[in-house]
Amino acid sequence: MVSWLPLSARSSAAWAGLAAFAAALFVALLQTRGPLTGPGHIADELDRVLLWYSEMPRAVTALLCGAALGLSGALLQRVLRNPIADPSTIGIASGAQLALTLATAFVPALIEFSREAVAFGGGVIAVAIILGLSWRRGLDPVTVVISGMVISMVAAALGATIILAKGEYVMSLYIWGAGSMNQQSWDAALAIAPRFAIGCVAAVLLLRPLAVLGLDDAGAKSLGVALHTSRFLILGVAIWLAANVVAEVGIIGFVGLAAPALAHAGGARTPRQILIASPIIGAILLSLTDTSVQILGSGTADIAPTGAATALFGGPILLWLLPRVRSADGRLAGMPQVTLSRVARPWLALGLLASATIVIAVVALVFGQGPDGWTLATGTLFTDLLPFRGPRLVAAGAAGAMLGAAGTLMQRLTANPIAGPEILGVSAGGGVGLAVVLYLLPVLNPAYLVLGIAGGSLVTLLIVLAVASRSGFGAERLLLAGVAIGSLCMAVISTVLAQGDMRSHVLLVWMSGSTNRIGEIEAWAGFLAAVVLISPLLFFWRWLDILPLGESTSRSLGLPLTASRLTLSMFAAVLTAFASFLIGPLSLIGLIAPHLARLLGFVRSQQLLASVLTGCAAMVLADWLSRVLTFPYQVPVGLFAALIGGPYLIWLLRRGDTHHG
Amino acid sequence: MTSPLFHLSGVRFSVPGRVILEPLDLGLAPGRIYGLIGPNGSGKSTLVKMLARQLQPSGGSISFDGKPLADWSDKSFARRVAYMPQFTPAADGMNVRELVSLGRFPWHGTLGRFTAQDGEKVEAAIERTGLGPFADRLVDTLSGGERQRVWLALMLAQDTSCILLDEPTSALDIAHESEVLSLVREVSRERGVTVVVVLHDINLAARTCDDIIALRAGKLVAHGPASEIMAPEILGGIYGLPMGVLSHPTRGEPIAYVL
Repeated sequence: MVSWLPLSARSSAAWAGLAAFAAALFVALLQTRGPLTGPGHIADELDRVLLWYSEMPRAVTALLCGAALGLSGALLQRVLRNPIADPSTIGIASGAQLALTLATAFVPALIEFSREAVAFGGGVIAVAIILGLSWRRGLDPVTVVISGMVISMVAAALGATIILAKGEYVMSLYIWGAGSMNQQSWDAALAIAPRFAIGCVAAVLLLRPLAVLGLDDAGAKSLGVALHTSRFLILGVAIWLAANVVAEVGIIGFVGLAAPALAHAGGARTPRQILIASPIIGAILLSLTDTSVQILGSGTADIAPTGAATALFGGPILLWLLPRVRSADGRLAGMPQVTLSRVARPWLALGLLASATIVIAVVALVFGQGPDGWTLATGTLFTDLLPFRGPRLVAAGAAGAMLGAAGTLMQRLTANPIAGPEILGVSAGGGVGLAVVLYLLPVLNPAYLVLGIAGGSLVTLLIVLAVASRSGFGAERLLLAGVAIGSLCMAVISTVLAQGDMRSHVLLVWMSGSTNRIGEIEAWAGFLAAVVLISPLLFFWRWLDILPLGESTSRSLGLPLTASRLTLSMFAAVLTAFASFLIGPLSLIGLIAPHLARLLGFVRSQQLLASVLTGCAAMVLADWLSRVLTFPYQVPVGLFAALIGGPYLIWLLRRGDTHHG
Repeated sequence: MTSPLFHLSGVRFSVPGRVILEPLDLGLAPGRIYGLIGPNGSGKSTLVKMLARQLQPSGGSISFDGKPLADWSDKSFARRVAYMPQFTPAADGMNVRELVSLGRFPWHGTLGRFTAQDGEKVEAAIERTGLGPFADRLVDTLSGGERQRVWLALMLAQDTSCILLDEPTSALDIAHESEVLSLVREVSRERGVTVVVVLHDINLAARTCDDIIALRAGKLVAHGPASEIMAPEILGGIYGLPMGVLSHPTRGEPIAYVL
């Protein structure tokens, strides 16, 4: 049976149908364009200009970008042996975008020289970091994806900070940042077409090594393939394809993920079949999405950037793919580690920890860098500076404490030492909640903002828990479900950012984790929230002891499973929401604080308290460092914490390796 | 004749496309030790999980002490029935005494005080299982056999009248296997505790249990006193292999072997 796609007959027919539907939809789009006003012949002329220089190039660009992303995803998935690899999940797209942002802000000449080269450089750096991190774990898919997510998050926060610092100069970046396909000429299509063709030729040349690379390293080596050379060549082609798309139209997530997966589901088995089918499917997918976005939108404005819309089908596909992901070595990323040693006198140790926190806070209040170098603020200088330093410090400390508590709750709920607000997508979910509030409510009241973040966080956490519980809270599924929902939410956030109005500014400030706007009221609210939300947790310490022992044991001991999980999830979500309202969503403190508490030898209920104190101390320290290290500039404290937290998480993933031998 | 502690009528379990357990009627009398045996995939683990309320039957009804399982509250059921899963979880930095103390949760609940009586039950359970010298050791640093005894101690501290064990010896060597099962038998005799234990090894089951319940491919194939089950034709029916039985050279108990 010969069919036009190397798929089963039914799938080929289905894709032919979809392609026809996409074409029909495009024709319908052209037919329903609003009539232009003005004298007849001018309107006709304009109409023709719009058709040939906006609509047609846009359609062709969508087809080409979809094909390029489909090919890039297929190559990445094959070479990394990772069914959920995609330019967006492993950080290529974010890396490319950050490179473009940096170049636009600081070295515009580079952009003039070649946008594609800059984007390619960013993508290569992102992939180099990820490979460096996961190399020793044999490119374990879970490690790769988590590293990719951390890199994407840090890149997003850095990008937000640069945009805030440089103002609207860079803001235009975000318009395409979310994958807006709007075209005014054939430039983009003409730029991508030859590059896509070169990519195809390269892929064909690399087809044989690619077939062998699907085996494990030993098998590939025994067949005489120059393993690393071919791997790097294929990765290079994949990055190059994705970077070109980012440079021309911005981040379009999930097409590279979905196309090979759908090809596989449709019956493509060999690398050759998948490499042929993926670009075609990718082109159909992106074209369909782009046309729908235009039809559903009004006149000149799309309902949403296409790149964000693809996330709506891509996120569910990612969740559907999760059961296929296998750890390369059967070991889990961040398996429970045996506590090295327990602290001998926990209450004394907690007292010491509390004193240390207070000392750090006092130092942070008193020491500072001024125009004349380091100063020790005493007397009137101290009282003068207090209104500036005090609220920030209290807010940072309260947020750190709340994140420490939220992280402990999440790690205990899931029995997974690497769970945290960022990894489980809860922070990003809070951003979606915030965006919803920004859109629905005319007045910006801080209370509504917190409620919005809390609602978004809770819904996300419950979805992740529901997905993970279907697989008995397997560590990998949980983390991957979190990453999937997190990327889905980040796509929605980019949509709002791309609007470029006041609402997106609020979201951008929140993303960057800036504490500059914190005044006395916010500080007190944060402090009160921390006290009110953390103290009741002490009543639940027995739940926190039993839940990590798993569902069977919890049930056998008569623990009310649903009620306890729901209660603790609500606390975790609200704590995360308050903290992220104060210091932004990306600090990674919620992951680090419980971990440090464990390393210090605190277990059971003392871990919660120790984690609260550690989180508080860490954030106060981060606030102070962010104030003095880059003086007279200020790095947002949330970003600063993430820049410390990212490497810690990575160290943790690597440590999991040595730990298990 | 005492009324059965567990009463099953028409209990079955299936997942889409596969029947794991055919409709089953069964009564389990209090104070006895039941061994659940059968080849892999025979449904024995599923059965014990349904007794423990870890799984909902697809049909039929199970009652415990005259009351349907669904009518028991979490807490009151946990005060009567303890369950040990096949794979015990990592104890997450807890020491032996702390883990065993969790067995008192159904008695003191979320907020209740840990009373002196709770403390006594915990110490007694630790003593009974011979864990006294290890009481302050971290559970995760113990050997497999010791760890299994800790979980047994947790069940003793839970102070239930019924204990359900899902392959408690699958990770143990012969010496520890024997030791753990003897302990189970002694405790059952001392306290009149009903035990349902899933076991792989028919000889171990015959030595430990009063009654044997044999399943094959989701069907009950034999149910009776251990001595009656240990006959070549019945064993052959259970395992689908020709089996023989001989007497233990010193103790005289029957030992099954594959012909």
